[in-house]
Amino acid sequence: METKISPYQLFAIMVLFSFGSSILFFLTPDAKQDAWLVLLFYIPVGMLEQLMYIKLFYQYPNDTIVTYMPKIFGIYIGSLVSVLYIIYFTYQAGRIIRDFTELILISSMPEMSPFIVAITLTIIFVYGAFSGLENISRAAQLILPLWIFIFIVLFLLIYATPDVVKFQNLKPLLEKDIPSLIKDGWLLVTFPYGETVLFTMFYSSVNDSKKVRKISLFAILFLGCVLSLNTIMFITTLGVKIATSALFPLFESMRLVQLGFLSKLDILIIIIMISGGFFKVSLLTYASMSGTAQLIKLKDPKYLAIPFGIAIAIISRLIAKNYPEHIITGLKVNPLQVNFPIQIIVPLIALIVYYIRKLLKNPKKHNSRSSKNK
Amino acid sequence: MKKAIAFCIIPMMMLLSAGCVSKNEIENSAIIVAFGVDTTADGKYMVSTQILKTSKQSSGSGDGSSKGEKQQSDVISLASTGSTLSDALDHLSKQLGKKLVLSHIKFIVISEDVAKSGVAGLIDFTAREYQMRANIVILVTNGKASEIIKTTTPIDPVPANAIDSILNLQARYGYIPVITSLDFFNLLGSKTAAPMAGVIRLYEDEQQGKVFKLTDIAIFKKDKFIGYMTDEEAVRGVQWIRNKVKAGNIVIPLSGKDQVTIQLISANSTIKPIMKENKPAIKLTVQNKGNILDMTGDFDPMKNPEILTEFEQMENEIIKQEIEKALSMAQTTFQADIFDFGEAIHRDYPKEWVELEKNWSEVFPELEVEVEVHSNIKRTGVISKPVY
Repeated sequence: METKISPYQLFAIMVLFSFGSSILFFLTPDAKQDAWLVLLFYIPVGMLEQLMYIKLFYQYPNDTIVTYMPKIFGIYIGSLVSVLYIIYFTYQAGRIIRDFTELILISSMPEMSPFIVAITLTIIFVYGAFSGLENISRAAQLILPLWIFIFIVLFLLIYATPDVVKFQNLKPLLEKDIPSLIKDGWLLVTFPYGETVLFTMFYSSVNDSKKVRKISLFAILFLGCVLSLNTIMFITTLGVKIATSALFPLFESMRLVQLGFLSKLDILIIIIMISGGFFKVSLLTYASMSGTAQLIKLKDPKYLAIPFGIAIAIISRLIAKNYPEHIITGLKVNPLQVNFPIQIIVPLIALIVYYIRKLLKNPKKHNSRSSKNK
Repeated sequence: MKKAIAFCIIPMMMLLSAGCVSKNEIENSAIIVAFGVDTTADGKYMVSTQILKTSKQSSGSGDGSSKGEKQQSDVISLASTGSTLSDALDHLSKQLGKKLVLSHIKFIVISEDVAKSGVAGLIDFTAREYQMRANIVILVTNGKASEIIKTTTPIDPVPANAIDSILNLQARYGYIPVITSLDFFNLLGSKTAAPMAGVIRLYEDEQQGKVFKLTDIAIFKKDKFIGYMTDEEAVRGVQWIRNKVKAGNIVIPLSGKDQVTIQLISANSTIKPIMKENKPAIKLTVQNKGNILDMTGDFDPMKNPEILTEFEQMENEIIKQEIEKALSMAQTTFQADIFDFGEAIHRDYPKEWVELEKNWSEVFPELEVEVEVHSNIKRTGVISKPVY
């Protein structure tokens, strides 16, 4: 099971994964016109989280979060934690499928059966997981430049459309003071920055493990800056009122493009957004598949795609009765009850436990950790 | 064996994946290009729609004019009633066996009665409905909205396109504000600002029959219509303040019967809120460049360029008058903050705004606005001195 990806491919999947759904929403609506600043403020926090994950990874350079948890916490508790992570990844994949199902139903085909949309999306997305990490990464490597290019073109188009962009919407700058803005935006710790906990599954697959830290920190920086630019675009085109009340501000603002024959580009936007969803779901599914395979010592996780795919499609329909409920769970309930413990508390405890153990085991020379790793 | 399975599965997938759940055939869809909203006697909404004829070839093109016939229109207009806007559109299905397509709507005409009773539901519908874009123009009419929708025009086989091209042009001239549903939504959501909309009227013309004319401003308070601003100078004043005048003419009366017309080439106005002894004030600066378009009287600007400076002074005064007329109408007649000065103050003085917002309705009529106009006349056309 030697899957290897290059550092650049790691960068591509990290960026595309994080954009997948975070670019759809207006993050931190409480901060109003300063939301873009809050996003910038939280880049260092996202980097700290990333450093924590990488610190853990460098202690076990050949292991994933599913396999080093038992080594840290002992076989029983550790395995339980690993199973928790696998369930979390599967659940997240189900949520993303639901997000995109609702996007299609709300924005273009309201009469469509959500089951058909969910199943179609799942088949395509899980096929990515079936083909394996290397293939997903190669696809990401190709699609990332394309994505960036399309977004630059769309940004230029919207800024070229007359009477659409109003920069005065960004004022007053810092209406609230910085501490209260930081308080408003603290959920950013979990979404989008904390979601990168998934990559603890993939760091060990990078062929040049020394570069992992640099690359992943750079990915977080890139993500934060582009999300901030994106939020500026929402506020300047739609105004704070609509930007915060629109369900999909990206979709809503791109609809305003009207430049000669270039207008009504909605469907193009949806396709681009769904291509982001592809990476998100494929990587999450692949993580839960390979995690399961590592836990039960299965050689090839490939065919686990089928049961996980079915589970994801079912989860996506069962998690909420209607769209508002789904969003409330995603933005209000989950961050506290699911994301925060899984993304921050458990890795932090793991790191602390690791150091305590090392101190107990080898109190004199705890610098020689490299020799212990196989 | 593998091949046989693939052979069965692939055609099946091809059949299934080419889904047709929410298909939309062009001949089965009614593409609405504009609609008007009226009230009926029993308090319901009446929606009149302008629908493109999709089943027939476009008529009226080519040799139609040589026969001297009146150009045939490419639209049909139908009306239906319902208790809400979407309900009324739904009732169209009784008359029309086609699926409604709302994504090509260019503008919505609201009759005065509907505007008086409140447009919140209508604006919500335009924002909520997934097919409609946020850049639909909102217009108010003094008569029946259905009349506007029904009227055909010789200019374009699709009357909505004719109005749309007027709107596109008027976005640069100052005779009517072009307010989209997005603008309206944002103004409606603000606690202090008053929304407004352009007005469309029908005029009787001897040769052409009914002709559209877009003039005036309909002023709202919250979502309810309160009155028209019909004075042409005041309307342009509003547009000066909103930085929407980019073209147009300014006539300067001189001594006696002489007049000079200045054609604007470019113009720009900026609003800057200032604090004067804890009282808010607005500083409005208008800058414009123009050329002389026509002139009578005994002047020769090529020999005597100082005369242009004099004209510039007079032009400044005229623009200032227009702006002050608009301000006095908004501040005293309507007492409605249609310029969104409140938001401008909020942008620059967020701390002071917290207090001001509470009693903005008392502050706004008293608000001091300093107007400063800098006109610049650049060229005199291709001749210098008036012939006579």
